[in-house]
Order: sequence, then C-alpha cells, then structure tokens
Amino acid sequence: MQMFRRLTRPVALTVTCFFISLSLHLPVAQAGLVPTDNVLTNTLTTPAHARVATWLGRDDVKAELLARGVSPDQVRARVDALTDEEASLLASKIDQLPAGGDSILGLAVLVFLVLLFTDIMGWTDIFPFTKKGSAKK
Amino acid sequence: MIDVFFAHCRHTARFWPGGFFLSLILLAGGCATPQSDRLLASPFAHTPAVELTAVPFFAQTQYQCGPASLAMVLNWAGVPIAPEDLVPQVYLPERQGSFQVELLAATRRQGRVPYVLSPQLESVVSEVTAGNPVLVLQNLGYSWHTQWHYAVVVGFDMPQEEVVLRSGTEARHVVSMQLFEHTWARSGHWAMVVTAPPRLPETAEELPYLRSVATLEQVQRHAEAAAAYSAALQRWPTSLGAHIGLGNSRYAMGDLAGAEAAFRQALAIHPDTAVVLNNLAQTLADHGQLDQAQPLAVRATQLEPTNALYRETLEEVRRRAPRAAP
Repeated sequence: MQMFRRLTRPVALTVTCFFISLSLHLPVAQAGLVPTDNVLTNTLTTPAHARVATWLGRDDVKAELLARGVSPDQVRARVDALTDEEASLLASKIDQLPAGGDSILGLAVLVFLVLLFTDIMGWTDIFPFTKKGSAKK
Repeated sequence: MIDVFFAHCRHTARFWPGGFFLSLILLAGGCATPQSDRLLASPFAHTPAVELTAVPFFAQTQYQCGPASLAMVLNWAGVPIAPEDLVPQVYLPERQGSFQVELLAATRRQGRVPYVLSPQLESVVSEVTAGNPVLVLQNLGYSWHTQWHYAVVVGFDMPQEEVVLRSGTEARHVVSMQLFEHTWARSGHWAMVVTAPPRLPETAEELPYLRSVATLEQVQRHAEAAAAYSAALQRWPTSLGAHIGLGNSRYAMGDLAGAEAAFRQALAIHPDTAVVLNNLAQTLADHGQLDQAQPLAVRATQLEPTNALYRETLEEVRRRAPRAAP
C-alpha cells in the first residue's frame, strides 16, 4: 500500500505529460492567414480528426518507405513533399500502386516483342490490335 | 482524381493463366483505339509534325526510367539535375521503380510545378505543340504481366500517325499512335508536364493548376509559387485562389507590402469575402497598421461568426491595440 502511494505521483505525472503531449498535436485555433489550400478546396477548416489521421498517416508512409529500402536520411524529405492526399494514398495502397521502372529490355517485354513480331509476320494471332494498327491506313 | 492513380493497377499478379485467357477474350473485343481515332478525325489531324528535338536525353539504367524521365523534363524546365541525383528522391529499391506521386513530390522540391494532364491524347498533343514535353506512365505489358514504364513524349507526326518518345535507352523511340494509346491506356492515361513559373501548361485548368502551385508553398518554395500565382492571374484575372496564393506566398517570404497589395487587389474584385478580409487584416496588423486592420477583422467575423480563426485574428488585433478596443 505504501509502495502504491509512492507510485501515485510519478504515474499521475506521466499520464498528465502523455495527455499534454497528445494535445500538442491537436490543432489549436490561432490567428493567422487562411492557407491557400483551404480556399481551393472550399473547406475553411479541416476537422481535427482528419488532421490527426493525416499526421498518423505520414508516420505510416515513412515506415513503409523505410521497409522498402529508402535510406533513413532521405525518407523525411520525401514524405514531407507529399500532399495529405498523396500521403494517405501511399499509406493505404503502397503495394497496389504501379511503380514505373521495369527495364524495357526485361524478359516480359522481350516475350511481348517476340509475340508482336510473330503476330505481324502472320504466324500467331495473339494481339488483335497489330492487324488493326497496321491496316489503319 | 485519386481514382486515376490506382484504378488501373488492381491486377498485380505476375502471372495467372486464367487471367491470361480472360485477357485474350477481353482483348479480342477491346482492341479499339478510340482516342487515336477521335484525334485523327479532328482538326488536329491536319497539324504539321512537331518534335521537340532540344529536349535532353538521359538513357535509363536498369529499372530507373522514373529518375531518367523526370530528369529530362526538369532539365527542359531549367533545373540542371542528373538522374542519379533524383534516384534518392523517387526510387523505391524494393519495388524497383518509382511512384507517380513521388515524381510529383520531387518536382515540387525542385521549385517546379507538376501538372497532371486530363487523360486525353488531345491534351498530350496540345502540350507538345506548345513546347512542353510530356512525361507519361505506360504499361508495356498487360494487366496479367505488368511492365510499368515512364517515358517522355517529345513529338507527334499526324500524317504518319506516329508518336516520338524518349524512352529507356532510346533517344528517339517512334511508335504508332495506336500502339502508344494501348500502352498508355493501360496506365489509366497518366501524363504530367513540368513547367517553370511563370510559364503555364497549355491545357492548365484553374483549380487543378492552383492546387498544384499550392503544394510548392508546402515545401517552402514561396518565390516560385508567387511567380506561378502571378502567371495564373494573367490567365484568370479574377481568380480568388490565385490572389490569396499570391498574397500568402509573399507574406511567407516576409514581403508584407507585396502581400498587402495582393490582398487589396483581391478585395477590390471579391468584396465581403471573409478569407480576403482576414488575411489582409493579419498582414496589416503584422505591418503595425492596427487601425486599418481592425475594421477588416471585425467584418470577417461578422460574415462568418463561427470561424475560430477569424475570431482569433480579431482578438489578436485588439490585444495589440488596446486603445482602439471598444
């Protein structure tokens, strides 16, 4: 019981600090300019919950990019340059988005070109548009 | 808008035999090139061939068509940057590629405006004809075997029905318009141009363009943002967003007199607009002109009594000028 009492103060302090730190991230009404963004989206204030979600979303994107090989000293600048919309897109769809970069000399393209060639030569009939394309004129 | 980004990428399986045959069936019925057909039947078809031969070429190294393509359009827009310097900004090692949104983000980090075109071939032709090379995402394969690829459209030859691209390791990759349409359609017709303020994309629309400029403010490129807003006002003289953006970016650079001028011009066109009143009041207050600021701040709160920001601005103005308070 004595031990429990001794712990009360530090625990209370920790909990208080935790809640204060949470509130630091919540938007507080401040005097200032209305940001350009707000005029363009016709929403003069972003609801508090949306901003907190965005803030969490950016941390998610950071973790996802780090896990996919982006160096730690680059990841912050990359995420900071994303808009809220883009950050939440990456956070939710990172494995489904197309990542342009396959070498155009890759195997798949080679197969594609071979099949395209055989189509044009009239040996196969895989790609209907080859005939349509060449018969265009 | 967001749909454009992922609508085309639902099938990520590398190979699925059922999908293969299904694709063949679908392709048999879906081999049309509606955009090319429409373009070639329009007055565009009679325009002479155009090719932006001065657009620089960077041959891609393995998987890095993203950095290479972006470097080409950035250099054209006056940013002397090599593909290697863009790799740490856009390349994702584990996916061996680059995301569209990261190309947009890297562009704004260079102080240039990235603008995603409306998904029509006419837009690409218009931009190239106006002297803006167009960065496109293509799927060179199929949905069952994706082959995502970035390239730069630098020319069109209508009579020959051809498109000229800087692509991969080829400085001049010429394909038929129909083949280009097929590969481009598989990316959801995604295309972007990069312009250096005060130059505007030929096909820019007011709101999408201003939203893109606003993202330059987010990465602290205020000088370029101000130049882009000024240019936007040349094309859309009454645009509220462009006026506010111009004032805001000048304010962010510490140019209070310039910001005041922009907001006053906005007020002349958009009287009784709370946003303008608030931003002008705040600017005047920061400039020490509290007597002028107060009636503007009062008016903003009268127009929108529930807005916490406007109330706070008014309170701050009153705090700073206690003698003027009622």
